[in-house]
Amino acid sequence: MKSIRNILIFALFLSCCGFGLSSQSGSDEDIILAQHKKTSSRSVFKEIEDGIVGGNVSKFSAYFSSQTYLSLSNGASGYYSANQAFYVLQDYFKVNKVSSFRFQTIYEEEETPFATGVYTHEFRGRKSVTQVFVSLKFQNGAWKITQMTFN
Amino acid sequence: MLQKFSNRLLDDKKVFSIVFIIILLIIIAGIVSPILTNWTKNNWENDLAGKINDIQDGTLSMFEKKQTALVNKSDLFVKSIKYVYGDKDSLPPKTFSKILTSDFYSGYSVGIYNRNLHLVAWTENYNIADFDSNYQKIKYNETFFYNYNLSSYLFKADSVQIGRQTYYIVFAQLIEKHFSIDNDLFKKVSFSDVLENKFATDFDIDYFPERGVKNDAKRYSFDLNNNKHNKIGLVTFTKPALTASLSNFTDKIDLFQSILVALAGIIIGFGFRKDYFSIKYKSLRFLLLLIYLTFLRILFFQTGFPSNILGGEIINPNNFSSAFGFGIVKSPVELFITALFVLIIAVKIYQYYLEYASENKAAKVPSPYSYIIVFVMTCGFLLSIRGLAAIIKSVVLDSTLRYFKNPDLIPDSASLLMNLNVLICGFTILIVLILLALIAIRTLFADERLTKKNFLYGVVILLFANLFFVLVQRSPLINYYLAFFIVIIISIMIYHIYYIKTYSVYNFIYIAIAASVISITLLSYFNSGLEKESLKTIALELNRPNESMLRFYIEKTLTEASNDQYVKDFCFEKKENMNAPAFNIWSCSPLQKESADYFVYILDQNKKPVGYFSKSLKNKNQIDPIVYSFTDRRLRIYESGGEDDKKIITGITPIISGNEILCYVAVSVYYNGSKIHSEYVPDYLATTKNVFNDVLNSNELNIFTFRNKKLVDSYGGLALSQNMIGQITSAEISESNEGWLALNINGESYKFYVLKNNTPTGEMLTAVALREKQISLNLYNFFKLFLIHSIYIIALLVVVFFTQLKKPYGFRLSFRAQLLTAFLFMSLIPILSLAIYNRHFVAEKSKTEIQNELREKANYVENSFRVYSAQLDTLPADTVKMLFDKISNEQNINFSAFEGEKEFFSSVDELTSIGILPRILSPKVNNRLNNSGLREYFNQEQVDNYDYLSFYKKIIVNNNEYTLNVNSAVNKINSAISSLDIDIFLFGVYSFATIIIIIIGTVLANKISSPIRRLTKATSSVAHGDFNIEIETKERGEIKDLINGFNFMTRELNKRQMELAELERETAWKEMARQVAHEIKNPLTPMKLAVQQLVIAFKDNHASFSSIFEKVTNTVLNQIDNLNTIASEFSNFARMPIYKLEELDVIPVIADTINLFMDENIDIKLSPKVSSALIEGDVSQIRRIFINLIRNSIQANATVLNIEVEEIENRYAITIKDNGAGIPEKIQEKIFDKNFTTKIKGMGIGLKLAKKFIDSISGRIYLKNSSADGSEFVIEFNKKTTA
Repeated sequence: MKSIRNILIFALFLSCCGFGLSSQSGSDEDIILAQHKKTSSRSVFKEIEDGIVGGNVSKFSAYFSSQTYLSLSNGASGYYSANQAFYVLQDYFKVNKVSSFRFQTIYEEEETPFATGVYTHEFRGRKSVTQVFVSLKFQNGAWKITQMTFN
Repeated sequence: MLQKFSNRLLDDKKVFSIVFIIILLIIIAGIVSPILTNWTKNNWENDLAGKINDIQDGTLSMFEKKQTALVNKSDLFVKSIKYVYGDKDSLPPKTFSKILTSDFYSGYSVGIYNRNLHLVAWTENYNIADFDSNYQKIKYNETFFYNYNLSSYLFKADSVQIGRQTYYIVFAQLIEKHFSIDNDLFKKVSFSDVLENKFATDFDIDYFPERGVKNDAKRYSFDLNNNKHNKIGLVTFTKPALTASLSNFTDKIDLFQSILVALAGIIIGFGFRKDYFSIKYKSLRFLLLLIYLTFLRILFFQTGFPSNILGGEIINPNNFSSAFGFGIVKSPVELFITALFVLIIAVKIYQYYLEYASENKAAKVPSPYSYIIVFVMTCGFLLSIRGLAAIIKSVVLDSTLRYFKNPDLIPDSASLLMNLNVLICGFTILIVLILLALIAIRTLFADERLTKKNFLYGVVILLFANLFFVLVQRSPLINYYLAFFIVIIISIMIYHIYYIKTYSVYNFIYIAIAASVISITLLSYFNSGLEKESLKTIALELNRPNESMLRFYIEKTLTEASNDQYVKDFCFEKKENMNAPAFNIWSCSPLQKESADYFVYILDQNKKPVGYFSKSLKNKNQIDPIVYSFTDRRLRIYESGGEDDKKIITGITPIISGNEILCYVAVSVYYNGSKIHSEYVPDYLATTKNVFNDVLNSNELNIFTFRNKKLVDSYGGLALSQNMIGQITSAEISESNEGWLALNINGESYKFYVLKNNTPTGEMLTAVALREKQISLNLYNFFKLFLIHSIYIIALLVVVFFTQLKKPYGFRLSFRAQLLTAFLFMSLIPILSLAIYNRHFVAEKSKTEIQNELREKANYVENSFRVYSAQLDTLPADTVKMLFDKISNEQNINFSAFEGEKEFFSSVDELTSIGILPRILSPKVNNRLNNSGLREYFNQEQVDNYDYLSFYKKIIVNNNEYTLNVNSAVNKINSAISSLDIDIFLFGVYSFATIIIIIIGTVLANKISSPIRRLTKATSSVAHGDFNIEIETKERGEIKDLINGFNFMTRELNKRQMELAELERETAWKEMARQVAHEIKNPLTPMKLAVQQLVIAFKDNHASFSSIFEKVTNTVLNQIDNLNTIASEFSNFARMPIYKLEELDVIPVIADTINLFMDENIDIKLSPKVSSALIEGDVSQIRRIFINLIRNSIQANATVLNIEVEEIENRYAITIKDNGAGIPEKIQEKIFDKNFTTKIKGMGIGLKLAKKFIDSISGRIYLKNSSADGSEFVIEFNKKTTA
């Protein structure tokens, strides 16, 4: 009886290995998913512009890299993970409600394209204007935002 | 059912009526809100005028308060001087100095000048160095705004005549700093910011009386008048907007409603508490709790509660945010709420499982499905560890908090909350892991006790499973060593719970400690990963082609400068000190947050540099020559330098007023891949937020750049030998142009990240190095967080302790606790004293080193000056300044020279001229050097929140006397050991020593007190009638004698008691026999006489024989009845128990009895299903019965004993169930027999007496069942009925 039990336990142990072997596709998903076709940077800037116009971070949150530099006029400044960048920007748009936004210049020929624009928003009932700078970099088969400043 | 519900509602009037009111308020708020919004819209014009008036009145009131305070202080000072000294010819020396040292003047800058405009007394913070040149323009005895460099002061000057001497007395209060530095050392002073925060609208204050009103549709202005009702400034604010006001109002209504909804959700839970606890089935109770908590969490999330009422850093997503769960952990406080709810659920599952396992038997032989269950448990176990690692990783990476970087022992609120969150998450996962392990053990081994050997095998199997789990993962979160460590810690916890104390509530404390250790270890692990990643980020940042961004920032800086009225005023007035606007432009530029150094120049109309600022305090004269060729009237940006990696980007713009160019502003940035900060940047000016010091302290970094394998630039104090350079330049570089390297330099291990970049000028390598953490730093980091976790664990301990304490007013320390306290007291006091002394000693030594270095620098300056001046015949002032400048550049020492109390020269005049560093000698230093005759003096000084040390030395050269000042603010001082190093060593090592002392002290206290505790318990048992107790001991000496004496005493007591009982029985029987004999004799005598009489009558043939016969038979029958009565009475008497019956609650009696066995190797759990069980009985008998039953279980090797009390009709049934060896079937019916026992030393009367007593009070005791798995007795008592 004891030996049967020990064998069964050993089998259980082997099963755990099998489980472990088969369960680890999750960690590859990020890399697999990230292998989409290289799109032009202009279309990425368009999506970012649409997101900023609507105050909707979800529209361009997929382009956040693992370390995105943000510098905002509310004092937030530094490198943020993709998760953090989402909420930091969401909070910013909530307080500084957008009135209008447009990228005035887009440089897409370079290895690190960037765009600048003017963000008109309301803060404490007063219209304010903030300069926006966004730069991209092509990493692991996809465009990623390296930095975004609202100053 | 409706009736029941309405009855329920009426019964819980208080709770549900509150809920009803809340719902009503929510509805009312929803109805009222649009009405009020419309009303506000319709009456906005009237409201607006009122609001504007309120803001104006509020502002004037706040200003008036400041002004009045200043005027009062100034007037009081002047009046006191006049009163005391008004009739004197002169003032005693140092009069003013003595007065100004009073705290009464703190917060004010006070300066007193004599009629020659020589400063005679001043406060420490007095820095208005140009009063003497402006004194004629000033209006006396009234307040005004004095603008000095980059600051505005509320100012009042008076003149006082004492004898023939006139004194000018200046009182000033800093009201606005027109610049800002992006670090924690800077202290912002801004009246306009204060107004903005108070009135929630933008303010702009002109501190000039000439400014005109700027009223328009959006803005409103009003004058600021002084105490003489003269205009001194202008306040302009943005008028409150309707949309902002409505938005504010709507936000408040939403907030109000959300708070009410959240409160309703909480109160509903309280309302249903009684129903919840009355549910019989635990699984149903748990399900309801789960549903309620989930509902409440969703409610909180939807309403934004409590984030919408809290403020500060704990709701800031900067400090932590994760997209997990649609945002239920989007800030530290949201994570706390979620973690707390999950913790409650986990603890409840754990408690319910333990109760279930103790009440229900597991299957004897595990079925095949059991192995599947164990497999699932094991997978869950491994995944839970990975889950915990994922949580901690997210805490590190999805947060800007750096748990190990901040040297402060007590962190800020966000860090404290996140530390609590980490502890809660670790605790929850550990509960789950322990639960999974217990379920797996029970499933495999049923109620059979798992042997320690099998337990060890299980741990080994788990370790192997963990190894494979880590190995087969493509990207494991943690390495095997860490997983091994975690499994070992958890195994220790499981061992303790399974074998030692399953049901103790203090297990939660041990789990919390284990959770703290595991979570801090994981934090440290992921933080190391982050630090390693930051080396990469730094290298990438240095090589990032950010030229476009720099151009963008330069353009923005210049655009803002050209529109800045402050800059225009300075340029228009052609003020002498143009460094001030240059600094202002520098501080307002977004370039301040960048790591690249940039320079701001102000050039006059002829493009001659008149003002400059750069944080590295160098390159003053290295203006980009391209600016001289600028002729445009628009902003232009140029690049100069032909090579890609050595560019200077310069922007220049004219400052135009009307059509006239007042001046030019130029900003230059070195865009250079190899140009790292090699110049020293004062701490006060360094920004805290750039990639260099985001994760690591920038002074921990060493950065090297190589071009074509040659070192071209470096940052940091590390020097590389040729061999090391060779190793770095030939490091293995991967396809992605990066590589890692470990080098041993000066006996210390360094980790290098190397990044390759091919440029037109050749191969560029950027190497970023970090010293590997020493053990002392690792210990410091560990204990720094453990200290914070300990505070939370101690709070939990206090809560658990007081919930367990039955008599809070009778708190006393046990013998063991007293011993432990004594050990700790004796050990920790010398440790702490030693730590404090060592810290002080090392700090003093470190301070002495800094002083020596400052003194050395001053000596260099003095010696150099003597050498240079010896070659000159005369030393006019300009020559002296030139020599000082030359010495500063050659020796690379920043210093100032004072002539008297005023600054004569400064190599950092860009800081002194703008007021960051003082231009007037400290009064304390002046007193020591100029009045007391000292030659040297050290002074601890401060600018905002930055402390530094200054060294002053008097030098006399060619009859000129100067006071040199060399300080640590603008000179890099290399201290052998910093205060942080001291703290790391002392705190880390002494904390470790403290832990060791606590562990050893606990072990010793346990060991010493153990026999005493056992003796105490045994004595108590004896006092309650248990004479079968005997203590075994391996002790020697007095303790052994004491225990032997106790055992002997107990045995003798037992023996004597039995003898006494026997004697008493014998005596009682003798007496009873005598009584019986006596009583029986009484009726026998008349019986004998009557029969004799009958015999005589029969023999004599008596005539009345019939009557005699009848008489005799009656007599005999009567006497027989008498005898019968006597026999019955004696029989009743013999049966009558000697018990003291009274009304008692049997539950506390059992609980008290259980306490006698606390130190025994048995877990006894009392689970009453009723709150009280009133019966009529004898307390001591009942106690004796339970002592006997528990003692029997212990002697049957039981380790678990459950006692349940339940109500069955008109009786209380007490079930006593153990897991001992059981009673063999063949003797089960004999256990209540007298003198029956299976024990060697037993009397065999325990159960007999128990049955006797219980039967006597019409109760019942019986053995319900017994087997090799344990025995179950049931005792039934009648309920005590009330009359």
